Amino acid sequence: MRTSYQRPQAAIAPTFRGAASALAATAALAMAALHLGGNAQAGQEAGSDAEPVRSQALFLTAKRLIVSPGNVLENASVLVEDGKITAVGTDLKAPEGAQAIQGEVICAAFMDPWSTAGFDTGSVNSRDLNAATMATDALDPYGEKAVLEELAASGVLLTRSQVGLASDISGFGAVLRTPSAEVVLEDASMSAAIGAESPGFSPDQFGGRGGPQGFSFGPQSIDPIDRIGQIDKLVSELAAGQKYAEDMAEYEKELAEWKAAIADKEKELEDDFKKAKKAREKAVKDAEEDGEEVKEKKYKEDRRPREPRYDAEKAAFARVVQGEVPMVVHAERALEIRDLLRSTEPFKRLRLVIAGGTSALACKKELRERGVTVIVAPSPANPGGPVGELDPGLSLAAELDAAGVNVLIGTGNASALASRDLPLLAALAVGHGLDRDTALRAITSGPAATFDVADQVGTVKRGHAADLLVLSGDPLSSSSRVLAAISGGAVVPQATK
Amino acid sequence: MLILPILVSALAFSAPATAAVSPAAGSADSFALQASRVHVGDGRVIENGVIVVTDGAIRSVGASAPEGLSVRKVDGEIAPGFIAMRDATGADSENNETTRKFTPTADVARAFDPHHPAWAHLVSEGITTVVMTPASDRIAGGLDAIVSPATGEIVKRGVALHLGMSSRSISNFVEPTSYAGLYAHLDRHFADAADGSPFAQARSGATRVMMEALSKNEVARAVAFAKQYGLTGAIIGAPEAGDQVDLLKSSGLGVVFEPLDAGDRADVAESAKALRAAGVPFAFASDAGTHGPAAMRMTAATCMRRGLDAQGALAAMTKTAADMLGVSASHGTLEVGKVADFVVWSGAPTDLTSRATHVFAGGKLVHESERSSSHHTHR
Repeated sequence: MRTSYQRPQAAIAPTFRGAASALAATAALAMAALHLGGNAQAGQEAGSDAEPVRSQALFLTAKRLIVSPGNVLENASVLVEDGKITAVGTDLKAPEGAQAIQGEVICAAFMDPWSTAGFDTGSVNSRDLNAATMATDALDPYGEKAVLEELAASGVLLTRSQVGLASDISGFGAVLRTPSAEVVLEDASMSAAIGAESPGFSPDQFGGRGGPQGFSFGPQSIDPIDRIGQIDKLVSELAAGQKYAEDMAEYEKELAEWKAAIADKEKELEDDFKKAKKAREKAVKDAEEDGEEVKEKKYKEDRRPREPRYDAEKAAFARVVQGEVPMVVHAERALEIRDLLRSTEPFKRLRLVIAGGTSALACKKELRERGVTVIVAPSPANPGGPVGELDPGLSLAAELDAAGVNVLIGTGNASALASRDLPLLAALAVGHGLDRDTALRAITSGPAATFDVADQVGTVKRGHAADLLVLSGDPLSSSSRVLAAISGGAVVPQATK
Repeated sequence: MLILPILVSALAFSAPATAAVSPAAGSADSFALQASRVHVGDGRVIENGVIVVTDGAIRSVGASAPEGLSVRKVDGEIAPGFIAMRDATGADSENNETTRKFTPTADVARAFDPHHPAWAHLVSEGITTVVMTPASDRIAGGLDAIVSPATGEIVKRGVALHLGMSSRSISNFVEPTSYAGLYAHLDRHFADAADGSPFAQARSGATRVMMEALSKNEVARAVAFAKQYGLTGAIIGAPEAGDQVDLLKSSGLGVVFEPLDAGDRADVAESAKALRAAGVPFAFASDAGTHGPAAMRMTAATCMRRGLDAQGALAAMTKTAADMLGVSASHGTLEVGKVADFVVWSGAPTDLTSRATHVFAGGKLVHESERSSSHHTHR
C-alpha cells in the first residue's frame, strides 16, 4: 500500500502553503475548506456520471478454475456481482437472474506488463517527456476500437501501459483495463530507457524491438559511452529524488514543530487575553499621543519553516527512490544492465524492473540477489542474433527463471496491437523451456504483484475485481479460444466468431 | 546438435518412386520410432504409431514395425517437417537486385548457402523444407527453389516463376513507377514470351507462378492477370483473402500468408478460417532473415487462437504447401516412399507450448533439443 505521495501532486500539497502568519493561515484554511467542499460536490456529480454501467450478475462455470497458477479447482464456479468477484467455489448455486457462462477453463485476465495500449502513437513515440509526465493525461478512451477488440479477443484485458518508449525518462505509466480504458492505478511505474535509440537495436543484433515496420528510433548516433551517460543521468535523477525526499521529510518535521509552537503561543495569548488587550490599547494610545505608528509586537513563532522549492520531477523520483513506485528501465545489453545494477546499488529501497533484458543472463546472479524483476519481451517476429548467453532467443525467460530471477512476459512495442500476442509469447516461452505455471504467472499474477495491483486483479479471488477469462481449453494452448472476456465485471462484446 | 549440412546437390531431388527402396528389415540404414501420436499430415492421426525409415525414406507408418527391427520409443508426437513457403535465410543480400525489375531466368538456388548458421534456428523450430525466393521488390525476380536447410540439398530448382505484383515492386527510382506500368511490363513479357522462356513456361502450365499481392485490389488484379494468361500457382500475401474467397476459389490459386509482425492486425486469422471453410488451399511463409525462426508457427497459432482448427494449421505447413509446390510425391506427409523429413514434438505439433525435441531430415537426426528431457520447475 502507498502511504505518502499518493499522487505526484500530493507530494507538494503543503497545508499552510501561502499563509503569512498563524492568523492568516486560519482564514486560509477556512477558505480551503469551502473550496474543498465545492470540489467534493462536483466530484460526486462527475462520479455518478462516469460510473460504468455494470451488467447483471454473472455466474461462470468451468471444469478447471485456475485461482492462481498452480492452484486449480475442478468443476468450480465464480459469481460476479457489481463488478466484483463475490464468490468462488465448487458448491455454488447460480442466483436467479444471473447470466450463466460456461467453458472448460476460467482464469484471471492476461496482463501485459509492458504495453502502449490506450495511447496514441504520438505520445508513444514522444521523446519530450520527463519524470513528472502522467501517461494517463494522454489516455484516449475513444481510441482505436479495433485494437482494443483484438486485445479483448486474445484475453489481454489489463496492461501496464506507458508512453515515450524511446524517451530517456518517460514518467508514470498506468495499469489500465484496456477494453474500457479505465484506470486501475495511474501511477503504477516510472519508466526509463537506456540506448533505445541506438542503431545497435537493428534486427540483426538485438532482436530489433522498437516499433512497427519502417519506424526507427531517432538519431543513429548513440554509442556505449552515450548509453552509460544515460545511466549516469538516471542515477543523478534518483539521487536528486533522494535529496528531495530527505528535504521534504525535514521540512515536514520542522513544520510539525512549528505548528506545535504556534498552538502553544496562541494558547498563551488567549490565557493572557485581557492583559494583552490592555497592553495593546495603551500602545495605540501612546503612539497617537506621540504621533507615531503603532509598533506591533513580533512573535518569533510567526517565522514558519521554509518549504523546499517544489520540483515535479524530483518529487516523482522521490517516490521512486523510496520504493513507492517501481522503476521500469528498458535495457538490453549486458554492459548497460551491469552498469545499471552497479550504479543503483546505493538506493536500497528502489524497486528496479528491467524491461527487454536480451542479455540479462550475463548478470543473472546480481539480478537474483537484488530481487530485480525482468520483463522478457520475446520477439519471434524479429530474427534475433546468435543464440548464446548474449542472446538466448526465446529461451531467455526459461533461463532467467532457472537462475532464480523473477520473470514477467511483455511486448514492449510502439504498436498497442502487439499486446495481442501476449498469451502466444508465454506459450512460446513454455515451448522453449519455461514451466507452464510460471509462464501463466508471468502474464497474470506476476505483473499484478510487480505493479501493486495484486489486491485487485491477477488472481481469481473473492473481493477482487472481476477481470476474467472463460476459455475453451488451457490458457496457453494454441488451440484454446477465449469464449468470454469479463472486464471489471462486464462481458466485453468482442470479435469471437 | 545439428549435423553440418555439407552436401549440396546440383540436381533436383530424385523422384520418390526410386527413393522408395525396401531393403531387408534390420538394414544398417533402417530405424523405427514409436510416438504417442503420429500425424500423417493428411488428417490421419495414428495413436502409438510407428514410423520406419530406410535409407532416408519412409518405409512404413502404422501400428508396428517389421520383425527384427528394434523400435525406439520417443515421448511426444511425430509430424511431417514444416514447409516454409518463402524464406531468405542467409541470402538476403544475395537476392537484392536494386537496379533491375526483370531477371526472370535468375535461379535463386544459386544464392543458397547451406553453411549459413541461421538455418539451424529454423530447423530447431521444425522447418525442414524451405522455398527460397527473389526479394519482394522485383517484378519478375527469377525462379523459386526448394531447399532442405538441414541436409544442404537443393530439392527442386525452378519450382515457380516469382512475380512481384504489389506496391513493394513499385518505386520512384526504377521503372515502372506505377501499377499501370507494372502491368504494362508484365503484359508485354507474357504476351510476347519466347518459347522456353520462364514466361512461356508459366503460360503453358509447366512452371507455376508465385504472385506477391497484398491489398485486396492487388489480389484482384493478380487473379485477373493469372486468369488472362492461364497461370497456376499461388498468391503470396493477401492478408484479407477472407473477403475474396469466391474470387480465389474460381481462380484455382492458393494463398501463402506472410508471418505477422508484432503489432500487425490479425486479418490473416479470419482469412485462414474463411479459406479453410471454402476449401481454398493456403500455406505460410517463414521469412526468416527478416523474421525470427518461430514466426511461422506463431502466425499459425494466431490463426488457431481465433478459430482455425489444429488440423487445418498443420496441413497448411505440410501437405498443402507440398501440393502447392508440386512436390507432394516426395514431401508434405508421412507416407511410404516419401522423404523422411519429420519432427518429434513434445506435444501437439502446432501448439506453441510444444518443443521440437528431435528433427529428422532425409532420415538423419539433424536437431535434438538440449531440453528434450523434462524441464526444471523452479521455486
